[in-house]
Amino acid sequence: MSSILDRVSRLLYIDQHPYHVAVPMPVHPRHQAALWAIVSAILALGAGALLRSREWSTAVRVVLSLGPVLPMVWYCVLALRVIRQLDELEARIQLEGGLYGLLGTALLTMAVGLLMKGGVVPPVTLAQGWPWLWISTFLLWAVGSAMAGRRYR
Amino acid sequence: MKNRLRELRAEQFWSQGDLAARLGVSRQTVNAIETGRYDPSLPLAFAIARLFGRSIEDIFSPNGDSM
Repeated sequence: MSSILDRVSRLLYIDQHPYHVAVPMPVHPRHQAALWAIVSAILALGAGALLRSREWSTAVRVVLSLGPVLPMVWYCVLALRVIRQLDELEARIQLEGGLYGLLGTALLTMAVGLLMKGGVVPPVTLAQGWPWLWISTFLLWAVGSAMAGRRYR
Repeated sequence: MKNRLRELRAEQFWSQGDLAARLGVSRQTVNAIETGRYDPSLPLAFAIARLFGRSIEDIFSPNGDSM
């Protein structure tokens, strides 16, 4: 239980001081990046609900629609920061993994798009399908990193 | 590339972790270099040579060269 609380407090940037004063402590950029991805997902869900709730002006619709993008921009900055902090072999493994993620997602998108065009699978709009691009990138990045890492073991 | 890193590390009675800490890299990197699966960058090769007080050519050689 204390381990879970410790992890949550680290994620929230808070350490329990003996005098119960919340003291900011450094959180690894990897964890910060994960936090911003979660924030983006929550914002995307919230913005979707708000957009459906009533008619908004175009300006508000733009802000609500693009709101979830900002945390992901910060996520990308932190991901690059994490890679720059790694040693040269670890950075190489992560970059190879990232390449697997990006190229694999591009191939999957192409394959699914062609299947849609061929009438094999029902068409999905970009508005419906974009979360899968991130999910595919993350999963293939993880698989690619694991594969690249095995080569240097 | 072949190298004498394992042999030089053993002379100092260092573990892979000890050497990694001295070089500021991960233990996996030291292991990959020792097993010949990864060729270090030039800055890291210089750091290794400096740590052991030898030249890069003393430690690393192209495959096929006698050590």
